Amino acid sequence: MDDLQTLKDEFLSRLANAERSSDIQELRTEFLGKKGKLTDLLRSLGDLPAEDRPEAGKRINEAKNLFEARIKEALSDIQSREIKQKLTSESIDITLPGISPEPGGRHPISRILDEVIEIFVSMGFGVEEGPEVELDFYNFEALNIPRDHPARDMQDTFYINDDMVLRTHTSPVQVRVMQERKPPLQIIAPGKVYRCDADVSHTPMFHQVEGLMVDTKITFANLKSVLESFLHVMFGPDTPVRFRPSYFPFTEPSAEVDIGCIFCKGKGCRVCKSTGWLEILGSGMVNPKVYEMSGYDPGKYTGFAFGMGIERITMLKYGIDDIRLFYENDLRFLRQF
Amino acid sequence: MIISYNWVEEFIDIDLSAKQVAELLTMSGLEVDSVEKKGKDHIIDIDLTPNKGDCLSILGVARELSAISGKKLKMPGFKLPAQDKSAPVKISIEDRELCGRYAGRVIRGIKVKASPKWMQKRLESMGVRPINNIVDVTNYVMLEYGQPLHAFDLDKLRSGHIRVATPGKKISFSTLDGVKRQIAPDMLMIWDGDVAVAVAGVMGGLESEVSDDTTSIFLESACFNASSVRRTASGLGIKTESSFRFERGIDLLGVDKALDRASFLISELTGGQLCRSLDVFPDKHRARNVKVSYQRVNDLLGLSLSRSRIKNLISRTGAKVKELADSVRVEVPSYRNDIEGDVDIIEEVARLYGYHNIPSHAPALKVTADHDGSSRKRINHVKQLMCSRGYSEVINYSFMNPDMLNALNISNDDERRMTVSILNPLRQEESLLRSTLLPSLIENLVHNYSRGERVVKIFEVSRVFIKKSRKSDKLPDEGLRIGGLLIDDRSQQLWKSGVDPYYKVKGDMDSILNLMSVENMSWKRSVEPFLHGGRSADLLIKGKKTGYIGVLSPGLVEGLGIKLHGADVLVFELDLESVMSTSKSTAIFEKFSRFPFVRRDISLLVDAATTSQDILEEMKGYRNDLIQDIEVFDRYSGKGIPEGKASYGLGVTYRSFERTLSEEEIDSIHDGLVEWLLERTSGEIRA
Repeated sequence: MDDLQTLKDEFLSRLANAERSSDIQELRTEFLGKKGKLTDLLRSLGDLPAEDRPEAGKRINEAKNLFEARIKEALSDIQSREIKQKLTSESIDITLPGISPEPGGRHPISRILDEVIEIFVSMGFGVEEGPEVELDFYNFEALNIPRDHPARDMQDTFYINDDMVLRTHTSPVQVRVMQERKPPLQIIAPGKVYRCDADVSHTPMFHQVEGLMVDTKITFANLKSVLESFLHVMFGPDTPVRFRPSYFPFTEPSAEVDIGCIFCKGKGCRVCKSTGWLEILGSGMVNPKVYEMSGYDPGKYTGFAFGMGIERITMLKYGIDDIRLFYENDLRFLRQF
Repeated sequence: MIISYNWVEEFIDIDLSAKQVAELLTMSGLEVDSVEKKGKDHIIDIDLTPNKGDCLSILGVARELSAISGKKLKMPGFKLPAQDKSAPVKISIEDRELCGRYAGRVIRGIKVKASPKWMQKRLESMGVRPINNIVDVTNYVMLEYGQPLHAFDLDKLRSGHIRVATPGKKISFSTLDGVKRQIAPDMLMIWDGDVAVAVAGVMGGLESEVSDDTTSIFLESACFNASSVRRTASGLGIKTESSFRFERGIDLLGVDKALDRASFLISELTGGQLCRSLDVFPDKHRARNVKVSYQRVNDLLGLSLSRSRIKNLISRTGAKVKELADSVRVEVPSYRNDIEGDVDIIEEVARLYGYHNIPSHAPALKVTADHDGSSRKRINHVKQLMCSRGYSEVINYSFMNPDMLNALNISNDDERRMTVSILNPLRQEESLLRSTLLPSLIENLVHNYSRGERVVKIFEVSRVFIKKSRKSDKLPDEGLRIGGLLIDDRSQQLWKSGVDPYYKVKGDMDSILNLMSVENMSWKRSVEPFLHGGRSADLLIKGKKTGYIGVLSPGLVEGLGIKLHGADVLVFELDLESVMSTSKSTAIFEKFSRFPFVRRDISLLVDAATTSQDILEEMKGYRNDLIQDIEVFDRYSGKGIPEGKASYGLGVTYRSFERTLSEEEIDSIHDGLVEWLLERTSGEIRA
């Protein structure tokens, strides 16, 4: 059986030198295949005397098992080495930027407008819209701002013709909605508005959100509550809010709403002009004259209306100091939001 | 309006600093913009709302402070000297609608000179330039009492008959600022007989102006109609301290008091001799009475104030209050032209009670039908989609330069020529309302590119305006559009794709249309005059043009004044409302087969002019229930493909709802489909 030992030695030394998995596959065929060297040896068992056969057979089988085990081991070693090599050769610069579009984003006005709308929607308000080119009647007359009235000085108007203007506020939507529907009403009307004015602090177009709540028993106390809730969500629960008398032709009593300056916390700074307060909203109880114009019974219904400028809120929220930036649409500005 | 706090203090004993007073005023509706120390005085700048005409004077502000604080008002004490019984002029009001009261007095023997220092200082502190003792007194009393006054040189009034009347025809008249003005027939004027001498309530005339040589004057104190003065002043394009006060309403019962106060001061300062005053007051003042129910006060404010409290608060405004059964009758003071109805009185109650003392009380929540139409949410989804695909949202002014329509070669019969124009634009370049979003997007490109940006990818969702009718009271159409612009400067990209950027933008469009589940849509070569004819398309939904997408025509890009170095500018615009109106807002579940599907590909060689849309249309004509889906996954022309031909890679998916399909079964349907396709496209199968 020295043949077997020689065969074993030869197999093991050649296996040790095998570098690729294909070398090992060849070795397997050469030794263990149908015409393999070990298979030949097994076949030659018949030449041995009968009494030696069991012992020799056993040894050959042991060798066979050994060969197979070794092959399996070597194969797995080589395969894992080969995979490693493949991975190394395919390695890429994992720090290059990924393939995706350059980041885009919402315009800051659009973001804040949405935020405001969401807050009111969560309070049960519906969303309405009205035309931006509006009849003088809806923009002024129906809101108790007759021609030749000084209240028209409050708003520099773009005219299309004698009857038509670019709406100067979103308030005409109030009248349009009241003409169409009966109370209870609980709506907001966001949109673009226009004033014939352009300087450091004014753009000829800007955004407002109007609000209206009308029913049989709506009070000034309700107005305070709704607007306080809104402002506390918008600017934080600890933000001080104050209401002070003001004048809008379409509300009576009217109130201007201020929040404590969010920059100096009321101590007084450049933004709040040292007053500690920031004007944020106009509001009031709907003037009975507006109900009359809209076809509501002024004796039966009460309600409140409010309006706010989105540019101002956006500037406060993001600390933007120049309103004109909103409409330059410079990407260096837009990419920040 | 700026006021001197020292002057106010002469009218009321109020033990507060100017700053505290400013706070009080702000919280009661007279918003103080600033308080400035000036010597020993404080100048308070009040941003007065147009309804508060009664506060356009020292007296008015003091009266307001008295109402807020409850402190008593002190009127200046003075005694008129003996008066001459004669009245050298006659007054007649010929238009009672426009002039409710006209008083005046002749003062003789005056010496015009500079007014004393104390008066000059007072005027200057309130922003009025001192002129001479006569003019200064009229201004002084106007600031003090809120009543505009005018002094005429008596010697220049020849007829001795002062008339208040409209001219009835166009006339020209020189005002004291030296401007010759055209007076309309309905503008109220003051006349000396037949000679116009002043624009009533607005400005005096050049001819009858008080000069250094003046020795006698006629002093006017009158009440003119607010709207009339406003119309006249704005018609003439002038705004004076006088017209400003008349427009906001003055105190009809204060006309004579101001006349006396000014007469007194003039006689003190000039030694002039007063004549008897004249006062034409045709319709006696009848105080407005407003009934206010206690219940309504509390109902509107959300309070439960006692009757006496309500009565007391109303009285503080200076109004007389009479108690009725369950309400009060308020006699409105003559200076409160702003109080008309009960809500105006309720506002006074709220103001004097203090808005901060009214509690907050949440209204009962009525969940009304959700009018937050799904359209807003869907538009937001589109915006988010665009952002995630790398677009930045822009918001532009709704204005457009009229030249842009020409620059875009938009033809005269195009709807976008039916623009809405603004009568009083800020600039000619902003005189039209946009009928398309494209001009603004191009401006955004130029702005950003010229500042160094090489990748510009923007979109805007906004309304455009199309005038559909010539009628002046018919509003224009306001359609919602989404527009976008992309500049694809490939040299700036790390990953070079080599795909025509048209397809990128089309992919963006497709994803919007997918998101909106748009059906019945098709693309055809665009007819837009501003697009590259070969690389642009119009979107049709149900056969109607709903938008365009494509490469901006090279000629147009050249005119923009920026060097794009060969990069393409891609643009698109979609009518969002049409898109939304044809789309399904909710998905409806469709059953799918439980059995496996099998895909077969076709490599089809056709004329290059054949579009993938053509091919898909033809394939759809081959009806077989086992076909689930057909897609185009490749188009190739060039090397290996004959000139004028293109090769399309098409994938067909087969499945059955009943069983797993056998190879033979699929082969036979697929062969049928291929044969059908070859016949209809005159194509051949590429090996």
